[in-house]
Amino acid sequence: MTYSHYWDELMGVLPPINTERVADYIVKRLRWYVTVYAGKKSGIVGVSGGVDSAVTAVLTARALGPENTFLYILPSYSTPEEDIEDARFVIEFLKIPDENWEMIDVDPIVEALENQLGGMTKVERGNATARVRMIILHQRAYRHNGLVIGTGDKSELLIGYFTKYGDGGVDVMPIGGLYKTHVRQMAKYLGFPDRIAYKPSSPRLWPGQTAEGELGISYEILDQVLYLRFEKMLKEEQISEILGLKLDTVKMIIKRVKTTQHKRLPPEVFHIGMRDLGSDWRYPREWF
Amino acid sequence: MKEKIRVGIAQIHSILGNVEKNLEKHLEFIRMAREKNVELLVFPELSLTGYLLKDIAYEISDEATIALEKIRDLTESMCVVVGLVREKRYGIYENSVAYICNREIVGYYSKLYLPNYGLFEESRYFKEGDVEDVKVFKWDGWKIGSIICEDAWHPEPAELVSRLGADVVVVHSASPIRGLYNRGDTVLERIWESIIVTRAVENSSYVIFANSVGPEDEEFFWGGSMIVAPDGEILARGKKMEEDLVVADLDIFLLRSARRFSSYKIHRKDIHDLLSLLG
Repeated sequence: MTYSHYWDELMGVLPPINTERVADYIVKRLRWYVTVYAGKKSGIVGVSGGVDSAVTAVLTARALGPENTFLYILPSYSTPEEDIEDARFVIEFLKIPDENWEMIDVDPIVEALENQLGGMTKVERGNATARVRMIILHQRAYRHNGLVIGTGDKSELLIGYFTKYGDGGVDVMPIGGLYKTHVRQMAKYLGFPDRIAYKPSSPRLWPGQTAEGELGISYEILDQVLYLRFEKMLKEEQISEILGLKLDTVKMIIKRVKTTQHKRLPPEVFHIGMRDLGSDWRYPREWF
Repeated sequence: MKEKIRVGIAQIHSILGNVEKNLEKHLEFIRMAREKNVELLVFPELSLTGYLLKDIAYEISDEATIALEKIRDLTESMCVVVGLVREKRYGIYENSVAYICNREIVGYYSKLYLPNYGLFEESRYFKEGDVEDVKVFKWDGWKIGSIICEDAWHPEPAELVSRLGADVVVVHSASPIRGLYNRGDTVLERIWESIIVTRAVENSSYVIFANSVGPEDEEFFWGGSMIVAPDGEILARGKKMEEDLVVADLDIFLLRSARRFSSYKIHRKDIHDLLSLLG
């Protein structure tokens, strides 16, 4: 599929990103964030073979150099073989040195948890798997004096399609301002093959899980709804009309954003003193 | 009056809340500008303190005021304009610039329009500047006036300093990246260029846009400073996304020709009288 072809299918509602400038901007910002703001040396990325982690890995390697980029393939029983191949492709594509990447099977760790905690449901095990990956990445980050670079995109973050303290448990989210549609555009710009750039999105927390299967809607549609509601601030009824979508579908998406707000914010602190964490605590993130 | 004046923009990356580091950066750029024979050097909005201060804004003005004294020592035969939080009265702060010319702090300008939308919440921290306090500063016979960022999104502040006699209007800014959609420049970059060119043409004055650059808290200032002639021509541009020292020579001839062949000399007071009655 060509770039313009792909874009034409989006009915021209969501504007494309300026890939060159966005890439340059994210690289500059990430370099500063890791080395100056956090005072660290390296970036740690879990690569799944999907488009988000592929793009994040490239931008991290551009920001910090392949020698300071550590990539981890963390497959489970529900990871398809082609995802592992695509994750390896990312590693080769970036010329990551051999000592800077590993493949670690997470199943024995999840099984150990299950042995100790008792049997888990499909979703419990899926969340535990995501959190085991988080633990591995942070352990490696400490070892390599680095930060865990999150791979979440704007679409997933807004609808809360991630595991709290799992794939959401990261230090910084460089592509959190890009909708999935934009991540795919960026992947093409960065030179990834269609097989990765347009791969159907999936957390792969259980066999056969796909994002679109769970959400009941494609990311391309989802992104336009999110864009129109939260960037253009249109009403749900207007969005339904513009996109030719059922009003209930639009409402379902917006409701998802609202009910997952807790996943995007730090836990609430109850106010007791004159100035507590939370609404009183108006200090910048950059505070030296 | 000197026929020409060499001006410079110190498009710097200020470190949020770190006056000590920012002072070093100011002194470095002043030295660099001096080597290039710059006579008027201007810095971005809140250059000594950083812009996104939030509650640090309450506790940084003393340090910034002390920094002005250090800058003073380097300003022999030069005029330097820097941004800072200024404690106008005890506990009352303004978003200001200070004019330091030939080793003397000769005055201040405080922002008139404080933005409070989107990411901005300046009224939480600052008081609006008093219009009566607005003045222009003389340097080598040239008259220079400042306005700050949001002020430029309204026609009156630039018009005010221009009608007070400014030949050069400096717009000190901290404009962050937004909307990296589509090809080419962002909407904000295009709007800023239009605004700066318009302020120059409508006031038949030179306009200097001095923007911050680099990461600060959750923002990234895009730089792209500009020096625009009274006829709207862009004389010099700063780099985008990185620090730069932008230099250009301003010439009285261009002021004269722009004012001769424009309606700048006409000022309809009655329009302003009526405007003052409207919401």
